[in-house]
Amino acid sequence: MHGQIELPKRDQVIVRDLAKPATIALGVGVVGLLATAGLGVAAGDEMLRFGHAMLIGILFFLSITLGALFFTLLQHVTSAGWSVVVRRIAEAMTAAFPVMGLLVLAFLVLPVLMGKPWTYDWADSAFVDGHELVKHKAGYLNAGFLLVRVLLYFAIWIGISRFFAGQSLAQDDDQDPNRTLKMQRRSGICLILFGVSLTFCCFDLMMSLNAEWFSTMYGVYFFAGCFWSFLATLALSSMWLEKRGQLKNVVTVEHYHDIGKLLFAFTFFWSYVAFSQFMLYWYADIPEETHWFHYRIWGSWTGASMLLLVGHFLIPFLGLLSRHVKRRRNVLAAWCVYCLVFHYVDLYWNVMPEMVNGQPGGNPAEVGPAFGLIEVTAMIGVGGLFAFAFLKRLDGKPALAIGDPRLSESLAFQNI
Amino acid sequence: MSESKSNEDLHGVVAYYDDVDSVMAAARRVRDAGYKKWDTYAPFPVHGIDEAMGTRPTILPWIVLGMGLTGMTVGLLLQWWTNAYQYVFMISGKPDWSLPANIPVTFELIILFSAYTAFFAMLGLNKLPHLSNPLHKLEKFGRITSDRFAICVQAADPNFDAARVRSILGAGSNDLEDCPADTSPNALPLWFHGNMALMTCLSFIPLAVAFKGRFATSEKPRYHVWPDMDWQRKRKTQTAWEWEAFDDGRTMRLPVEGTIARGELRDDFEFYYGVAQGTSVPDRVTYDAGTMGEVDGQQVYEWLQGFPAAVVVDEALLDRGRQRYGIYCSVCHGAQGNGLGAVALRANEIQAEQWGWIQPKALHTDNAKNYANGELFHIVSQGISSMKGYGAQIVPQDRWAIVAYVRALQATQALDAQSGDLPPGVEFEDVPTVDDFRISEADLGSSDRPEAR
Repeated sequence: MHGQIELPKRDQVIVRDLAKPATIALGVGVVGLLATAGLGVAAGDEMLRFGHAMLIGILFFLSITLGALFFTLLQHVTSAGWSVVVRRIAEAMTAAFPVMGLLVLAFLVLPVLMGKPWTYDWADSAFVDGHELVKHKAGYLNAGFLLVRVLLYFAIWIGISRFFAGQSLAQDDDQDPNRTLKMQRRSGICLILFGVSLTFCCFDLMMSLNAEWFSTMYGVYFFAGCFWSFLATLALSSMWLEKRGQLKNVVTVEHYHDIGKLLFAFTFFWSYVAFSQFMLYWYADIPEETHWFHYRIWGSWTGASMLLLVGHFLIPFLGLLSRHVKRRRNVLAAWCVYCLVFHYVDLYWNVMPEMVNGQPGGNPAEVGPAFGLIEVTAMIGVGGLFAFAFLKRLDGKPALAIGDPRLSESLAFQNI
Repeated sequence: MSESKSNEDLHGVVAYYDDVDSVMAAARRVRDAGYKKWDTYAPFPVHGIDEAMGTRPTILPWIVLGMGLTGMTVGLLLQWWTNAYQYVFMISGKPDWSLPANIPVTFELIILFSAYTAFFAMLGLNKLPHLSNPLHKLEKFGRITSDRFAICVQAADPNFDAARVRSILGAGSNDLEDCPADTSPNALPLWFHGNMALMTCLSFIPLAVAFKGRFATSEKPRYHVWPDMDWQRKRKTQTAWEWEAFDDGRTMRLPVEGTIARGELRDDFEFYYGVAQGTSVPDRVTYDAGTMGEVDGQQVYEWLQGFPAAVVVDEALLDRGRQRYGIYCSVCHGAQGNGLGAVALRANEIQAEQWGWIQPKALHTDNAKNYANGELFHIVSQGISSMKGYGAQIVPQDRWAIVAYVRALQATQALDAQSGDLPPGVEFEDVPTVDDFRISEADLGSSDRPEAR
């Protein structure tokens, strides 16, 4: 059947007419951010709720972007053929790094530089003075070094993503297989840089919410969520481009089957890592390690923790187990939406208890989840900017890497 | 009728193809013609061949799922049975049966059961290992492991008609041949049976040895399979070692004279030894349990009656004491202090007295109550009678916490339901004593292994 494969014509696969949706997304994003800021000021809690709602929104879309970068690198380092038809979508998503970087700098790093504990308690010098353990971490957890690190992370990510997306786009025109070899050669070292930067970024942006707590597995935990949410977004974006016509008869049920398999695998990987982190702390039972879990499991957050266990692990594990689920577009799409919802629940569960924790007299075990409008507007705000960057990059370019030497292999791909 | 006679000599009709497309097309034609007993042979996995052959989806995933769930059940039951039912033993203060601790083993058993099932059920469903096939006798058939494809329709198929099969297969192939049936005897040779019988017998030997060791007694010292693991050439702190040691035979240097290691300064006699400051300090060697530290009726040591000044007796200390007591003491002395911990019950059950086992003491006896606090502390630290000292495992502060908790145990167990000591609304229940578990002479006569009540 290799003889029957027809390579798609360049004209058929170019994505057109996305300039207007991109502009609308930008508008929606800016309005969402303004609304979030307004709600944050109106709350009158010294921007605490605003800081944490924005952090979840930023982490949600940053994790998808990071997952996209990992996917691109992974396909090159393993020299994978099946994924060529969907790799361009991942490359386009990595265009969101500059926007994400600006958001992180403006809403997370800038308050720390100003000494405002909107999101991070340790931004306040009075807090640090009152906490012996945090005082000893001041050499790492300080505003200046945080800025340097965040700039470094985004420099790495933007650099890597620009190289790989750029090579891939250039290959569309010249079909030079040497570009593929070049990308493969660099993908290994880039993956190492990616792993280290992601881990430390997760320590800085997420783990330092509770500056006294520490977990060396936290980066892996965050990474599992990154790739999981990205795979869901990838399948949905691919279905959308299929519907628009650019990927019609290009992406087949076989590719969705593979994306579904990865989604299933990372459902379990997330659970595996989450449990490994929990069990070591449970078993050793050392107060400085267990307190983070203690107020999540015993108190007002018990329900949320159980929801995460059942909703993030048991239900999708059983739901995505069957091959028939992965080979039906509509069913898989429903599971992808489900996964994205629970990725949000996961981040919410990680971030929100820390809003109360560290406040004078604040006990997260007594103050439970309080989901409100501000979390929704923060998601719309960050999501709008993410969509803007993604659509802008897709517009006017082929929806798949038509110059890749393994395109025909990918088009003919079949699961046995 | 001559057709059916020739079918008995015929295994099937084989057609060879040069490329994937023609073998796929031929497979579709055979499928549509309704044949059941036929197969396709290729040097590599051909994508889409199952659809072309009309192969039904395998039931292997369901078998694997079922066995995975079985593995989960076995894993959980195994841990529940061993930890919470058959031999209850407290480990680092955790509940007898706690799910988080069981997840790794359960997970591994799910993987083990699933992986083995996937592998062996795959072999079974494919009817492997299959040692002989008539097709192997065809010279041309050898090429399907390198660069050719083949389809063989078997004569055993109920719809088999040699002429029709040839026409169906022949459309994409100009190379057809008949495969003769394998007429060689299919009984296994005698040497095979002999070897199998011998190996089966031999395989019982390890089992028999293990069985004998389980039920027979022996005068000889036990056999050491790995002597270098049983007697390791390692040196522990301050043990003598005749070679590879310092000249004086020690394995470690003594501290410089006139110095003391950090944390080793024990100038507070009350806190570290349980005796009055400056008085003589007992150690395990000179302390004779039989005389309770008395020589000629004279008390040698000035035991501390209360608690050292460095120890504050409050609720936190008692809580700490209860926790430490639960971890270190309760396995023998029992959570209630009645001397009926898990170890003691088990020893009772197997009548360990016959091998010199000494029953752990109940802590509610007048004897135990009459010890001074300092003496109790000394017993926790250095041991008494057959009890080993716990000074190496438990820091002094925690040993005092245990002393305080033992005092609390003694006080609460002294309460009497009739005397009205109890606060209203508190249920009173007698603490079982060792006599409730004692095996009577009648029990001993009636059976070999009486169950503990």
